[in-house]
Amino acid sequence: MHDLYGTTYKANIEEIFASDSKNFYYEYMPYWVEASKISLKRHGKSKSPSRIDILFTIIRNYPKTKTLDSADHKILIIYEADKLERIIQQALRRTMEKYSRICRFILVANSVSNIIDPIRSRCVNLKLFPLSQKQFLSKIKYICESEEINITENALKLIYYYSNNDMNIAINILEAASCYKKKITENFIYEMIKKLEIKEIGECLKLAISGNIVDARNFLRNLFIKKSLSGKMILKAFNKFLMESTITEELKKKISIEISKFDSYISVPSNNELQLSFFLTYLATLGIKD
Amino acid sequence: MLEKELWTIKYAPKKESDIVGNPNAVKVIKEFLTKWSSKNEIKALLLLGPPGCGKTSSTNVLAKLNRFDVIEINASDVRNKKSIEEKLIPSLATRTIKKGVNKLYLIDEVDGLSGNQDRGGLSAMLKMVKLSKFPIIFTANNVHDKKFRSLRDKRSGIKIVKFQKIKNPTIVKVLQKICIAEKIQADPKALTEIAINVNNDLRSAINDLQAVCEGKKKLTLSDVRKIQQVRDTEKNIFEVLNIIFKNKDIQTCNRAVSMLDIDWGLLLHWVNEILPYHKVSSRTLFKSYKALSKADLIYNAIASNPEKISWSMLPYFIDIISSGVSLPIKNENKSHFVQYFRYSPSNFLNKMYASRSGELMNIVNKIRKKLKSSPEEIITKHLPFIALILKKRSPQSEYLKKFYELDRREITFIKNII
Repeated sequence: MHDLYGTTYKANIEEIFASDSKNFYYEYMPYWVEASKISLKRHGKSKSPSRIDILFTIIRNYPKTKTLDSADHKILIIYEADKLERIIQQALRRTMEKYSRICRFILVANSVSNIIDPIRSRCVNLKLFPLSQKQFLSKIKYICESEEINITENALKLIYYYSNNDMNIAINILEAASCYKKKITENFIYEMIKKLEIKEIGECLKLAISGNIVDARNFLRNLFIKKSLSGKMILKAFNKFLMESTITEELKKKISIEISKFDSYISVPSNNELQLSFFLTYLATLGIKD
Repeated sequence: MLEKELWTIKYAPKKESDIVGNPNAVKVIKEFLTKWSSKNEIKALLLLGPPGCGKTSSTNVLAKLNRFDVIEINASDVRNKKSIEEKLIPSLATRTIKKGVNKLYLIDEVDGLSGNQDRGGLSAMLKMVKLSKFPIIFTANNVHDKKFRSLRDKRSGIKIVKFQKIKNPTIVKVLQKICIAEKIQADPKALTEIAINVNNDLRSAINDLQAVCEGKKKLTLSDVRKIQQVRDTEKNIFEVLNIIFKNKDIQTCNRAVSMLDIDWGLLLHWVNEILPYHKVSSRTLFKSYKALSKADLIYNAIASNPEKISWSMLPYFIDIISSGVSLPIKNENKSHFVQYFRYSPSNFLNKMYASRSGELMNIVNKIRKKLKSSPEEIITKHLPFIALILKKRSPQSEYLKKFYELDRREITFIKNII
């Protein structure tokens, strides 16, 4: 995009994240908040605009205005488009057609199933596949060369497996490791990964398995408050810990089915702490001796 | 003809022997007043007890008998720091004009001090106790309130006197006395019914009696039944929890929960809080939690979207939380007493969590100004690594601090994440 637009990038491209909260817009995009206030006033409402109001204003008004610096088109990029509410998607559908002469849209989404059909039919669907190991490693090697980092082959592979094909994580861990040492070996990466692990998870689960729910719950609360993790992140960590532990395969299967159930409980509005305490009591019933 | 005077005032105790119930507490107050001198170590009393057990009225009687003038300050007065310091504290220096009569400050319903309007009121009152040359008596209902920690402190010179609930037979006796004085022929069963309804509150028993007897000279059971439907006594959360976890009758549990006059979410929190403390097998606990989790899902479905999902789901919630949660425990164990303690820690916890997550979101937004990705991705994929880098002193970490424009507080916050 930068290549296409050069210096007029900022003037002609707007990016929005669907999952942004209202506060984010108030702080970092005050012009859109003002615009939505004006449009609300026109409709005879004098409340402060909500997130949906702001999104509506952006989608309705941005494509209507002229391009700057004699660029051909303006572009509105919407990240996490699958998280947009249905009503906003409906509004988008109309403007996409009407103002296509001025403005083009790029929607980025993780899964296509949450985007309504009319929008899908108006877009060219491009599916991006995860990088292959070869491409992935060559990119990391390129970074290592340009930053003059000394890294062994095994360490590179370990980074690849740890990051689970996610470039963000791979680059981040490489950067963190390079701060500590000039020469990066496999063992050092292991150390870094261990540092990132959350110790409370293991202790919490062990206490729960032994049946001491009260103490296990205290650990759980610590995770919520001190580490400021969300319920989903904690459940993910639980899952990882249990799958890597030494319990039998049969039990692992049983637990992972149960975890998927709990994930669905957490995804809908609920008290996450209560639901995870429920999960801890479930572990206690399994009667694992370890 | 409507009577002009309320019976609660008309038949308020006038002699010491009129006071019913709580003989020990009355004794303490009497001793405090008779042996009063400004050099005493104990300068004030805090009377704790449920409403209608005779805190205010016994104070008034005993003060009159011991020749004290009562200056009453109750919840209808503004009791913030300024008004106490301007009006009450200067009056501590003066004496009554009447000869041989002392002053007594009665500060009623201390737990009614509202947070905003009466700001600083409690600390001003403590100051008042220290300066005072006259006895002061506080009354309050809620024993569990955090606010009273400072009043409970031994150094403050306040002695705590606990009032118990008045038992039903005593209430019936008082009602009978009033009926005789008013020349009403009352069915004893009707009076017992009133006493049971009011939940050990003598004041509301007398009020009920007056309401039923208005313009009548005869009182029957059916008269009382009529008013019973009107007044559903509001139940304390602890009592409800007690009923939920102890009473075997499902109907009683249901009734107790549906009569509860607080936010359902708070009840949910409390049940969650005390459930693991029950000493039962893990299988049973699992069953209980299963019900509780269902109740939580229903509650949140109602609360988050009141327009779409109708309140028709509420009965299921009440059923589950009243009997579904506690039934496995009751079936397994007959004597499983659990002491309920600590005032609402779960609520406090939520507040703390909210403030911390607010700070987290601030940092995430700051980072997002530079990095193009969603908040969730930042928390899981970037923040831990940023923390790792910041922990080690290096040119890279200095660069990051400047790049994301982080201040010192935010840096320590990030470092604490891993």
